[in-house]
Amino acid sequence: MKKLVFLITLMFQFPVFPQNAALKTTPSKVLTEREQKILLQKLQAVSMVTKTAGEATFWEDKKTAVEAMADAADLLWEENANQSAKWLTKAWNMIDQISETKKDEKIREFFSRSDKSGLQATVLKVAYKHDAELAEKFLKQLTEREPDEKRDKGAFDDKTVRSEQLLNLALQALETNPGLAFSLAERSLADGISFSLQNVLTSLRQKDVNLANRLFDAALARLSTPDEAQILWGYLFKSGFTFATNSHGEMILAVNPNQQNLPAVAQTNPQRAKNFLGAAYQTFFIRPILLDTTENKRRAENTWILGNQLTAQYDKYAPELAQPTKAFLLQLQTQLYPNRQNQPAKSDSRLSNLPKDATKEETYEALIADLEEKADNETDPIAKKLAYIKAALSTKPEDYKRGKSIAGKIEDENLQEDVVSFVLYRAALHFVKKKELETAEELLPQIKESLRRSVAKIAVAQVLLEPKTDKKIEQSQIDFEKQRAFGLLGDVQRDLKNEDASLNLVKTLFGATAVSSKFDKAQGLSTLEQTVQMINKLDKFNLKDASAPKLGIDLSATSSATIASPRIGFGFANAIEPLVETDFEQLASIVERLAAKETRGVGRIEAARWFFQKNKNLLAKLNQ
Amino acid sequence: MKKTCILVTLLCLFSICSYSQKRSQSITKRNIPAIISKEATIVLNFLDLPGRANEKSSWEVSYELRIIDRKSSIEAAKAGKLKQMSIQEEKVGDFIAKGSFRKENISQATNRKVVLKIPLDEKIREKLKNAQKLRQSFLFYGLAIVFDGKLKKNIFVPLSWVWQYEVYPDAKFGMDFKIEQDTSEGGYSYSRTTFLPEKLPKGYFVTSSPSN
Repeated sequence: MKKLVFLITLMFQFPVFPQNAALKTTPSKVLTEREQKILLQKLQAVSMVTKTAGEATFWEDKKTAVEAMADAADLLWEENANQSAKWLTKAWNMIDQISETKKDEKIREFFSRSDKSGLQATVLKVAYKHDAELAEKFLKQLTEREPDEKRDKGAFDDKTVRSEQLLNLALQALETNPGLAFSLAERSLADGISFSLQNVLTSLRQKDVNLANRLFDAALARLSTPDEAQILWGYLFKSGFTFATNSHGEMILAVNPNQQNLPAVAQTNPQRAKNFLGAAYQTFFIRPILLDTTENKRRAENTWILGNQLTAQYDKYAPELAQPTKAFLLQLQTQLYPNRQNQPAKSDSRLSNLPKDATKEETYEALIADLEEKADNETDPIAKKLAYIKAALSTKPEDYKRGKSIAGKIEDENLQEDVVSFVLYRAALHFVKKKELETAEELLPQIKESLRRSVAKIAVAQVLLEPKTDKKIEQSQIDFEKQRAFGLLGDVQRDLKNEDASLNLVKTLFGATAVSSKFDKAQGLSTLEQTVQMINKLDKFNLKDASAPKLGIDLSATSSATIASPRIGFGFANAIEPLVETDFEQLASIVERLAAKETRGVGRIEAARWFFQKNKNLLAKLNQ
Repeated sequence: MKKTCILVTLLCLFSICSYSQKRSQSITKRNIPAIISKEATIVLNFLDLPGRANEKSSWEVSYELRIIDRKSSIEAAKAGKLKQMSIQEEKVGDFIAKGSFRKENISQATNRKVVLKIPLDEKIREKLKNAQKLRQSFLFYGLAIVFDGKLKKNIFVPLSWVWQYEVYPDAKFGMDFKIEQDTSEGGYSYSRTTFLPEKLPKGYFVTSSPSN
């Protein structure tokens, strides 16, 4: 009876959708208690989504509003296609009102992804999933616009905002519709060959070799700059790798870890490799380049870098062009670097004096020794500290003793402690990834910084709580491991109790909730409540951000990249996923305690999303 | 954190946009004094930090002062060498001086303010005398490592700045900077403001913009 009253209350509160939702479920048959409960929860989920989509139009944060309306349309399309299409159209139109957020200065040199393009891809993806006609309408608007040349481009940015949008969408479509992905990527070529094209090409090849070949040929026909050639070079010869030059003229590299170990396309398709080398020769290596302007000089440098990169490939796939290319490059080198002629590189560094057949280990040893020596010889006190940080962070995560020993030379107690703590944190996560838990656990107490220590403990606990596939493991062993895991999670809660509210703290608490609520729902709900209180203390928080807390060294933008990412998700979705099936009402109630309306709206949608996902089969059965 | 950081932008400062070029060309007589200063004065004023009262808090600075003419600075800017002005990167211009200092007990205001007096030798002063033709600017490459005892964090605050000689003809420069606790990923933010010259030369004005 109580549930029925609740249901009626909900129907009065949210009259737009619940009526439809109720109609869709035909309770002509006798429903089990569970089914009745699910139907009630469904009404609640639908009302949460509807309410949020209705409110989103008035939110100040338009970016979040667009995402919320697109999500709402996606979740409730089956319930009411008409209303969902209206939300989606509203979301699409709202994108133009969004101004780009300022990007991190350190990251901007590499990437500066457009907010608008990501949002358009999000809306288009939903449209393609449910209403191809609407999607085509949006896409037509997009492609008919003038290409918006990106300002302050990062080295690995796509050519234009339009090409970024098209390639972003192509990547999203790849899994389900390779033909569409091909068509979108091909349209992006109107603005040139963009960085993301390599990713699309490689992924498309795994789905449909012919389509990938056609796309490659279309791209090759448009080849005009050395940076474009680098993108195609990576696809053909070293999958997942793209070289570029930064604003200082230094060579930088972007690696896509998911594609870096794939076999080279050139091995199975030597003719395309030859075609590429021929096109590169015609485009770059026959005409002399004037060095009269900064732009021309930069182009010449890029051509020289590309040429040197291609010489081995010319020898193998197009030997007839190898000699003229080498002659051209020699000429270009004379122009660019007149002082470099006939001067063998003199260097006392161990790295440059290594024999050609040096092993990886020898190279590593030489590199670290060089960096440490450079730091030893530095006279400026801050530069010396920075040099030691660089050397310590260049050590391999498993070689933490070396890293710690180098960091020990930093003559600043606090900075030394910070770097040592980071080196140990990185090592602990490395050993967790390798499932060497005992070594990881030994390191935990040595990590002095509490957030790093907590993340490492959560990572260890997660592995300890993983289901055991080995039947030989005795129950007592499993129980002991559970005990250890709960001990670690308890430590985390205690450690973080007195921490000031911060994004990293919230993410860490989400990670702790995600792991603990799989085994102890009450504990999970309690940690989630604690996290919501922390979120309410922040200016803003994106509940969709599931990235790991950034606990690197502040000065080193790349230090975080050297950490093995723990497999725990650190987002709201990860935290609530284990709780949705058993505690949906409590979860919905906790979400309502989020103070900021945008955050609360996203929380409702995420909770509803998980509800629909977890109960997909039962809801489908009840809809029949 | 709700604050209004006054970002002082002196017009023509290494701007390579045509507007500022035209504007600066219209200044016929530059603000070059008859007597060239024998030293440059740089004041670094660390206004505040969350752990100001914490006895473990400290700050340490390394700096290098250089001088560069306008043509070279435009070339350097085009080559991306004046973008971040990190103390670890290749520096441009002619060397004047370098140094470092460390301050503890920073709850005391005297330990949060440092005045650097840097002698300018004949060679540099000659450049300044000729600044009418070859416009000169002082490049200050600086980095502070601050340990905030309350936040328990090592915070790196870049202090690099470019001061145009004709705007600061007395060669007296300085900046205020502060660190504030906030709810961003790092848990803090910092801001810097350069001192204004006592008197702005004709044709120059100050713009300010609020930022959070």
